[in-house]
Amino acid sequence: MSDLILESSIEQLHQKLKDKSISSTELTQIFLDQTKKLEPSLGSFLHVDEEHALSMARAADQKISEDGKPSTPLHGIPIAVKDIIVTKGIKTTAASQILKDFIPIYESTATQRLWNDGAVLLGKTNLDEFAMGSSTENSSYHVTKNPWNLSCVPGGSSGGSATCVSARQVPMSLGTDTGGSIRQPAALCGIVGLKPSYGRVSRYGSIAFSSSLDQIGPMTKTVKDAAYVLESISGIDELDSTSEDQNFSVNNINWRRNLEGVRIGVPQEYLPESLDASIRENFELQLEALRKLGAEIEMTSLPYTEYGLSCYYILAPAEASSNLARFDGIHYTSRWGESGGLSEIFVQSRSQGFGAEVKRRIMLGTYVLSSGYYDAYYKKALQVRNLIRQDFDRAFSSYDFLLTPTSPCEAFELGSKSKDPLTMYLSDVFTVCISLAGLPAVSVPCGMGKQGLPLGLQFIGKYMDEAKLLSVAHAFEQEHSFYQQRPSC
Amino acid sequence: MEKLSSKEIQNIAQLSSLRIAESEIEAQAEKFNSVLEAVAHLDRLDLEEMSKAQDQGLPSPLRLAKDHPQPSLEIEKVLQNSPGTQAPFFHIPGVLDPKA
Repeated sequence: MSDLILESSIEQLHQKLKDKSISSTELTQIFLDQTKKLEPSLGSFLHVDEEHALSMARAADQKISEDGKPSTPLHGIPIAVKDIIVTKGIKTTAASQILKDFIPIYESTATQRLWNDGAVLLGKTNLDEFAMGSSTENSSYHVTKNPWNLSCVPGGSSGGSATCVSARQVPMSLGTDTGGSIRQPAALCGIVGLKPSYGRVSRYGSIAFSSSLDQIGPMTKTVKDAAYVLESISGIDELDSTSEDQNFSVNNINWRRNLEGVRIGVPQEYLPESLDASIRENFELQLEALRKLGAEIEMTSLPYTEYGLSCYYILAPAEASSNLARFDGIHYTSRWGESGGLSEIFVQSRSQGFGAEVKRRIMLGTYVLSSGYYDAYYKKALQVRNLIRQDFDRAFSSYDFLLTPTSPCEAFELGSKSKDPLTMYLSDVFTVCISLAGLPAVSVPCGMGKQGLPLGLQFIGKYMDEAKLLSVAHAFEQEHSFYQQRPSC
Repeated sequence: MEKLSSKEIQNIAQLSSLRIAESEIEAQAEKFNSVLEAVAHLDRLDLEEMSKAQDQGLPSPLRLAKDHPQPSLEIEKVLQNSPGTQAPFFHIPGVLDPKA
């Protein structure tokens, strides 16, 4: 029974709750037991509050009993939330020492919508500090390990949110994606990760890293599951002026069985000669599979792709340097240097509270925004961002979707890239341009690489076209059994 | 591109309200310079072409919130996460006399 529950999709769990073959309390306990069993080896979570989870589950059961059925597809189902998304009364640290005892006094819009829909919070997941990283090794608390190979990273920054779904500790989780932080760990852990269009999900309560790029999104076992989570968390929010009034409903999705008439472009810049042979080989196999489903596939070009990483590593740190200025040792939890006076509090709290990568990005952002360098770096990067957007606009005049590998490599060994920031930054080379353009993209499992570790296929859609994007990704997913593969940890 | 010296790195740290230990400064400077060198890749682009491409900002224009009063947060709650308070204020050392 337990194993059947752990493997179930959201739709299947919903059906079980509906026909009363299991209660929310029972299924929450099953996932809590799985979490307790695997947590010592994986480290997916920063906090798990068993009592809180069970009390939410009991409340869900009470409501189901009163109404005779679950009120929404997520009602009574446990979820894990990346610990950069604030949860009222529950510790939220962004994996940083500077927020080590921070108890938020308000709820993020995305999580409030989940609780309104009856979902159950199982715990808060580990991440790279302030979502700055691609391996979850930058957490100031502990390293999270890839459930497929415990000596490898899970990707990042939403590494904990990826491992907990991959290892069946929860059926769904929330991550955040600034330059690839949902899609890359989803690919490396063999699950589905959706970065919604910018504005699809309110950012209210997502501790800001880069405000023009950050998006909250679902991480799940299947594409349909991601659609159910997105339905819950999306929509306009008066507390986030960048949120869009665009309806997303699972009922409006025409779930395809084939891809007849679908035009897919493959940008050549995402298949460079230097690409790992096994990634290329796998990608070509998936192109064949998509053709067999009826898709028309052609090579295309996004010529400004090569400038994506440079553009991202100017704009994101610039915004971070401003956003993280609020952490000053006065307002939030951790203070150092009190005896040295006010300015010493600022300097010591930030110097001791932030980790090395966060400090490096704040400094980089400060530098590119400073007088004399603003035009050379920041202004130029804004212009390049527009050229990258125009690349996508041109491509989407000919194609319905674009397709790339999600990551240029399989999960890599712990510690193998952490000493060299540039090598680590390259992990996001296939995801940053989509973030810069504000487009939706989903990573779907597509088999194993030469090391026997999962690979992901990235479907990129038009702005606010998640319904069609997920439908096409679902058709691909259902042709294979990749999504049913589970690590043996 | 000229590399930033350790002194310049210290200056950027100071502007960021950060302090880099002397023992770490060389390693930080090396990593910082390697990132700057990489992002200088944008210099390859044709500036004339670039000037035609004005940033469009966010995908949609920002909405303005309605200008009407809302209940404020409760003072005790606002202060609850601060490491130093003297209700109803955040407590900081005296600016002129740190011991105050």
